[in-house]
Amino acid sequence: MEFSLNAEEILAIVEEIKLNGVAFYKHLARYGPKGEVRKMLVKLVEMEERHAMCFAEMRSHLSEHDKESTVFHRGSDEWMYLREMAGHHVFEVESDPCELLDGDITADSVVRLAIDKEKDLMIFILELKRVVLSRDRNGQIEAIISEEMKHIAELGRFAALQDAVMSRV
Amino acid sequence: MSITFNANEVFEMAEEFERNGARFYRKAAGYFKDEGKCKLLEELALMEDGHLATFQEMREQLKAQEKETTTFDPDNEAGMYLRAMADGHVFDTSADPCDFLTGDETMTEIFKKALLCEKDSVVFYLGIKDMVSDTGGKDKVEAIIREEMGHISLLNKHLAEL
Repeated sequence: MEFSLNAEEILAIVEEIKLNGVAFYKHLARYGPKGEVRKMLVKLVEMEERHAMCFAEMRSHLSEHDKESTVFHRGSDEWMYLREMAGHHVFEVESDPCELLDGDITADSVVRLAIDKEKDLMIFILELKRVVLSRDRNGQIEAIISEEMKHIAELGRFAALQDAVMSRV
Repeated sequence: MSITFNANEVFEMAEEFERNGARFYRKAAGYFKDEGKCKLLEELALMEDGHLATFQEMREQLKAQEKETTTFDPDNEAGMYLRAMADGHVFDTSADPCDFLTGDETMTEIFKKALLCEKDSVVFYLGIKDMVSDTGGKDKVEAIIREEMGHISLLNKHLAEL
């Protein structure tokens, strides 16, 4: 059985991953330590919400031509990999984020985790590029990659800022 | 405090990545008797040697002026991205993955460590690809990124089998 995945659906997957990230950081903010860590987590939630909106906006600007289907076979390695990554491996939607950090919820550990998750998402998007490249005529995947690079840079600056704040404490 | 750096330094970082990667795979291969796994690690090391040679060649081809000056605006996207890479917060620029190896690691631990390093290299090289021109070797960097993605797929596949 074939499964069609077009540019709109790819962007929806990436947006879903970002929203999983929002839920992830909200959970940590609610159940983790208070004070500076919580403030930082609130900023991460805002950042990921903005990132999700970026992809939603990209999706809203797609033309009918952009939505031309890319066909995968359901159960194929590629399709299975994409679904696994989207739902489980970038942000583990079924896991307790506090357990993921082994109870070590500090500003440093959370920012490092956020950066690691962004790297995982970048790898996922590059894997998408590999499987849909020939059909990505309008460069949607490249646009997603450019956007994600900005997100990683933003997280890097955020981490540098946190370091500066913590070193003054 | 802003970090200024030039194309020469960026390529030097890439070379160090590849040099460290090759040493890591060779050192890890020395710990195991499983021929198949050793062969895989040695092959990965050889590919990193190839990437090192490519980056060295690209650095040699930089014009003298490009080597000395900051060749990109640190406030534009490419510059901001590379600065984030270089300042040590996205990955540890001073880390040598060989320091992780004591000889007591399982193959799973080695593959997981290798995966982290390969992901870091891909993320870094995306910035280099944006930095270089079409005539400066953009296609070569793209090819290296594709090969590193291949390493990631291979490592994931072998991890799943362990």
